[in-house]
Amino acid sequence: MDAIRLENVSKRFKGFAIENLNMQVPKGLITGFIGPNGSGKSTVIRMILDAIQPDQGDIRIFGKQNDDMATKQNIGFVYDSLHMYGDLTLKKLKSFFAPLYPTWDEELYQQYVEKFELPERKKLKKFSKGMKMKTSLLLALSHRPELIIMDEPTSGLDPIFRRELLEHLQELMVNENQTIFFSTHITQDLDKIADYIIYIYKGKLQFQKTMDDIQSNFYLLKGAPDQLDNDLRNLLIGYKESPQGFTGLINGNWTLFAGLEHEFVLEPASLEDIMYFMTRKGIGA
Amino acid sequence: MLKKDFYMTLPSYIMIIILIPVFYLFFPSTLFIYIAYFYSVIWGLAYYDQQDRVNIFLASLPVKKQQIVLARYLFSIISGAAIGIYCYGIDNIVRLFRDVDAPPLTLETLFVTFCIGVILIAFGTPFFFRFSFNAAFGAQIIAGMVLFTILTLIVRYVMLHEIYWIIDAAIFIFEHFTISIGVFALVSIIISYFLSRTLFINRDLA
Repeated sequence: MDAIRLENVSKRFKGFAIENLNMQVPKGLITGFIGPNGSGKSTVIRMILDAIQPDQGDIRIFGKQNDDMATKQNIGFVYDSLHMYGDLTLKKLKSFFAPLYPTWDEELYQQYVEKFELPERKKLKKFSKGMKMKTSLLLALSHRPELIIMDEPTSGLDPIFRRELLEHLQELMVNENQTIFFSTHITQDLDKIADYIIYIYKGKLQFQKTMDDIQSNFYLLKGAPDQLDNDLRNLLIGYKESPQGFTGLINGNWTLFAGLEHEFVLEPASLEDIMYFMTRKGIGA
Repeated sequence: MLKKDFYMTLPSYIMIIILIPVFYLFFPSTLFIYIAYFYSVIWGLAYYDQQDRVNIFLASLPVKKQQIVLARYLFSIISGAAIGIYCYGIDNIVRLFRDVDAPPLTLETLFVTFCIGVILIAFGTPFFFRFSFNAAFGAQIIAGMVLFTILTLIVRYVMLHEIYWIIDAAIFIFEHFTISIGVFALVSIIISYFLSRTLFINRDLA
């Protein structure tokens, strides 16, 4: 069973729409949800978390509707900001948050409070961005959810805490076998830890694949300017030209270039390369 | 859900607990502060909701959206009742020690004032569940003006055309004012709750 399943989900806003989105987040993996800013990642996550209502379509979490209370108790969520009253302290926030989750683990909560070095009696509005993110994470993890959903958890964080956060997520996967679904536009985060990638652009699904599939299918092709003829242009998902040569993205058909190593350079594409060239589909410059 | 609203309004509670006895030194009655408090509770909480975009967080919690709405109504009414009882107690205590010009705060006066507060909550709350804070502010002023104009026109029309069954009904209501306002407050808060619930469930919390 998938952890999350979206079927024909549509949502229209002024000047932006998500149209018939179908995607699945596999259970037990770290899934990265990528796309440039404004591609609809936060909207999709808010629909999954029941904060935005889709115009049409079906959203299931572990096979149940996403507004099912028992299902929601099994989700830990982290938004890009804490979204909680700044005048509350962590202690007060916990006092109304914890009773909502039957699986709340007070001991684990205290461990995280110590580990993240969070003051329990300081007002949340006096917390730094990193402390707020740690608070979100603390609340999300302390009830031992099966599914953790995070919207841009690493944006705005300093590199040290970003790395710590990613390491922590990996530890969770190893120790607790949780499913983690998180959006980011910092694709380097995912190169390190993701097992599965879902890529959307302008509200449309571009692909959903395992990291292994991505690494074995997407390649960067580099060559001299005069080698970029119309046939090659049609073969490339996206490309960039300069007087020194061209760089383009190919998907799956790299074997066409086997034996031509002396004419072209073929190297594995990173997620950032894929995102960059897929947003330039058929553009070239 | 009630707990978070309590935490957020705790400073204003402390302020009002101190202010009400102090006000007796300057004003003969604290009823206007009481009504102002009632209305300011929903404004204050709506302001905090908007400032910290709290509804996104709340909607993702394992609580039904109707529970979020219900908690807001219950909290406003319970806190209003508690402050009302406090006003009543203070009024009686003050009168033991000094003469006060205004008539004493009876249980009936307290009930009527409480009902006025409930009607204000019933009127104002749905705007906050539908609009942003500033838009709700504007919409309430416009709606209030429209409502006042319509009521004035109806009264003028009734008086001009001498529609006696309406005049008789109005006289009956004023003769039984306490019960009438109680029923009106109850009906309006129920309608208001269901309206807010529908608006909030269908609202996108972006």
